[in-house]
Amino acid sequence: MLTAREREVIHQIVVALLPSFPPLDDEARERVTRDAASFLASQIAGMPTSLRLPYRAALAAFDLLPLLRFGRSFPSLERERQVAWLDLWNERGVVPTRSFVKLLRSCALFAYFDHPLVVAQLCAVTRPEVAA
Amino acid sequence: MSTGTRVLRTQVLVIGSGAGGAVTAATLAEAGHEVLILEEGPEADTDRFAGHSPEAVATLYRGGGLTPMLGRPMIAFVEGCCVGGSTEINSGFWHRLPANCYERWRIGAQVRDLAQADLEAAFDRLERDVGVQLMPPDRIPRSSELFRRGIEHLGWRYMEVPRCVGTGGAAHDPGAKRSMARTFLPRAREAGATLLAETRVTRLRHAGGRVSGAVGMRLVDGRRQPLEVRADVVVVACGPIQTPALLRRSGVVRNVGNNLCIHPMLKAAALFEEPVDAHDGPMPIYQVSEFWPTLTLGGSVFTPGFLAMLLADSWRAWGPVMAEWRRIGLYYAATRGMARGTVRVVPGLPDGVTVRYQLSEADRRNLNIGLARLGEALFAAGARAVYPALTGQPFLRSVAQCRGLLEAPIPAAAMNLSVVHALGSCPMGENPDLCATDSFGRVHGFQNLHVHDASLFPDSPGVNPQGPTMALALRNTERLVERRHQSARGPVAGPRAATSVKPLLVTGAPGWLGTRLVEVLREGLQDDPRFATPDPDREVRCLIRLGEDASRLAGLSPAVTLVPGDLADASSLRAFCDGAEGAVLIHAGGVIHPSRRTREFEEVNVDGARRLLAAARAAGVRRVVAVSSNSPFGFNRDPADTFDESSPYQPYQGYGRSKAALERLVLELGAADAFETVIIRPPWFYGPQQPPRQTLFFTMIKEGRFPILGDGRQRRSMAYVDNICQGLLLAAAAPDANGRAYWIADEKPYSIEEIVDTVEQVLEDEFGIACSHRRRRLPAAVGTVAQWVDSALQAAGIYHQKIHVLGEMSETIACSVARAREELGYVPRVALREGMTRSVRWCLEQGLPI
Repeated sequence: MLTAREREVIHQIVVALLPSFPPLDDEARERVTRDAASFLASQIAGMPTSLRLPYRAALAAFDLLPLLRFGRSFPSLERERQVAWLDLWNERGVVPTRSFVKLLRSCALFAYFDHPLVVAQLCAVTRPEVAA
Repeated sequence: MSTGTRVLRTQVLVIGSGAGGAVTAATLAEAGHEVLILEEGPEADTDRFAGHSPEAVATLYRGGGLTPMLGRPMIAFVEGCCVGGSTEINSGFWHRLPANCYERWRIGAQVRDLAQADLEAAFDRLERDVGVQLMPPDRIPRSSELFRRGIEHLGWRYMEVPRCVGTGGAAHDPGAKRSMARTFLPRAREAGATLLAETRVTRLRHAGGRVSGAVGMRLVDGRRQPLEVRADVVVVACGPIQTPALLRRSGVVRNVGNNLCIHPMLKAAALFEEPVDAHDGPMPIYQVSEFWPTLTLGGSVFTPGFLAMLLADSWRAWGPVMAEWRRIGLYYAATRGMARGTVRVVPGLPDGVTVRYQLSEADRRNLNIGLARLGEALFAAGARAVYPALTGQPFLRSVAQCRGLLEAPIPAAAMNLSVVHALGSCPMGENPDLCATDSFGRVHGFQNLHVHDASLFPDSPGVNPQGPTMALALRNTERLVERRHQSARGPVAGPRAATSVKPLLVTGAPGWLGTRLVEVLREGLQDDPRFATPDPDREVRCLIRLGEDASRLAGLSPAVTLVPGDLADASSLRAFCDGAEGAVLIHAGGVIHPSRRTREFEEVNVDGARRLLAAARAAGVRRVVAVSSNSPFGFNRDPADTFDESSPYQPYQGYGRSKAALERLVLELGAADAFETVIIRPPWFYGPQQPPRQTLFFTMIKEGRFPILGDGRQRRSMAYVDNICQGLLLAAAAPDANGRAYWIADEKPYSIEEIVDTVEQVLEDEFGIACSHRRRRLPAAVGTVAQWVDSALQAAGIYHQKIHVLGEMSETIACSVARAREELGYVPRVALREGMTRSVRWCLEQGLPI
């Protein structure tokens, strides 16, 4: 099981990662975000021990290292700085940090775009004849 | 066993409920066996959620789908962890085993008896069972039609791959797939099998080449409950990662987890001008076979989430493509991986499994080419852009760009690879350098431990492995059922069935035991209905030393062939074993009482056996039954003790040492899979055909000259010669006897007083021979002194038979036949009085004076 703190960090990461497309009302977006974060947390919790332990260590580092740079931990950062922090780990980092973000992003996007509310909205806003 | 451990008992334990486990369980249960299936994952109602939804991934996939293969690049691997295993999460594509595998596996892995005709029959049955169907033309999804258009434009060969979808109107609908949870597992339950889900086996219990069951944990009401299962047979079918992990965790490591084969796959998203609506309809069905077996190109399952994952690595640039999702299809290029991966367990972590696969340069190049070809096909199909799963690479806009990939290699590290086909981690076959199991999935070195899943493939067949996995599981299970029925019946038909075609080779045939054995093989064992009617056509081939009197054997039957030779002459042994592939060799030859020099023990019993076994191995002999002795075990420490098969070696003098060396030699060769082995340990034997020393034994008792050392209560196990023959025939035929040793003797040991009394009674009561009834009693110390003298003489290389025998007379040499009874079905039919009566009668019939 993950700690409440870890779940909070994951939730904030998901918020920073999810796209604004397709448009969702606030209630739907909140629910989808919560479900995606919950899915991501369950994925990490369900990892084999040999992967989960280092991943949780990386999650703690991701959470706490902003203290050195911004004086605040990741969940307390403004959205722009959260996104910038994610980009830093992804684009300027080394292989392990890129892998860390890659997994988070992939799982979050998967959970988001296959969420029934999002699929329904996708179908509503992207009719094939319109897209074509 | 910890407190609170639930203990279950079953005949057959099947671990894993996927393609291999489900077929195994159903086949065994329907054949009347008691079957328990343990499945680590949950029993989920797959109707409740969409097949590839996040909920399905979280519920049905191992580790939520996060089970990567380590290497550079890291490869995403997914497998099912639920009732039904990976058949619940895969596409249900169905292939038969490609024809080229049979010969390749026969030569490379030395897989025996894997005939294409046999497996094709299994495929026929399975395809009916799981409803393998091609898709009706009106159901073919648009993404597949477009793909076919591109392939046909290029003139490439392709095929529609059938799927396990059942029949009727719902076929090919999402959720209609005929997975194991919908087919073989209900059948298994219907036939009486029990399935426990959420039950994780942590290790197998085994000793001495037999597995006795498994231990693990079961989730009950959210709490873990220790569980132990005791079973006669264990079948491991946990898939190509978890099967080797469980075996290795249990200490079974030889050729386990070293040969992992995969089909690395690179996906790409193709954006078309026209609507595709790949999310709404059946699975894509076409595969390009133009480049098979190196490369396979095809369509992949599509959801918006899967598309987003593919684009995730370049999300900033490619994310906007999501808006076009209804005009996008997902496709793949997969290669038959040329490298080999490993599966290892991480000590201390119950779920710690490390899978490594380092992409080879050939793999990278093939994927590079595969992507180029896939791009060509997609652009030929009308794609406007192709987005490959590559990090830091541009998307493809034209055929020219695709062909450019052939000139500009893509770095392996840039490839975001995934794998759904893993296999070959416990390969089957007789090749000792490669294979973990025999040709039917029985783990080498074990009697009753089997593997029945895709781990068995010696290499990659280059196709979706579900069909071949099920067919192999069916074939191997039917073999297992046949063997178990054979064991249950006893060897009434066993020796006949096993040897109706193959010859039976006997060494030491002109000797006391050997002659009787050949007689039994030709004329039957009248005391035992199981062996009363021998196979008249079966060749019994006897090794005859120059100068030995084999006249009694020669007249027995035309089916008895006498081959001149000697254990000292390797070429004659090769001639003896020539053409004996698949035969049984009973090695009864050896020296008990050398003429004078003790070196004969080593020369004949060890060096000679080594030559013989080398010849047998070269000839492909299937099983060697070696006749040993009580001497490797010395004397019982206490007169009340009995030897059993766990007693340690404590050889008595040169003969004991030579027989101990013989046993070790046989066991080593068996462990190296040279052939199957069974060791038979008869103690002091008696019966017709006896040598003069045994006749002298009767005479000494009659005249009161037989020495009784000590109080005469020391015990001796004796073996009537027909009882030994029964044991040898059982050892030759019993499938599960491989690698085992058995004491074969009369039902119980006798005291020396009892033996002497019995012989006296037989002589007087049965034959009217008057006995003196005197006893020559000597102090037990006489035996001890004889042992010292014997030791001194043997140290000098000299053998003196009477001193040697006298040294044993004060000791207890008693054994238990319990294991032979239990495992072989051995039932000693003749006890001391009847045996001695027959012996005396034979002496008298031969005109031998007593």
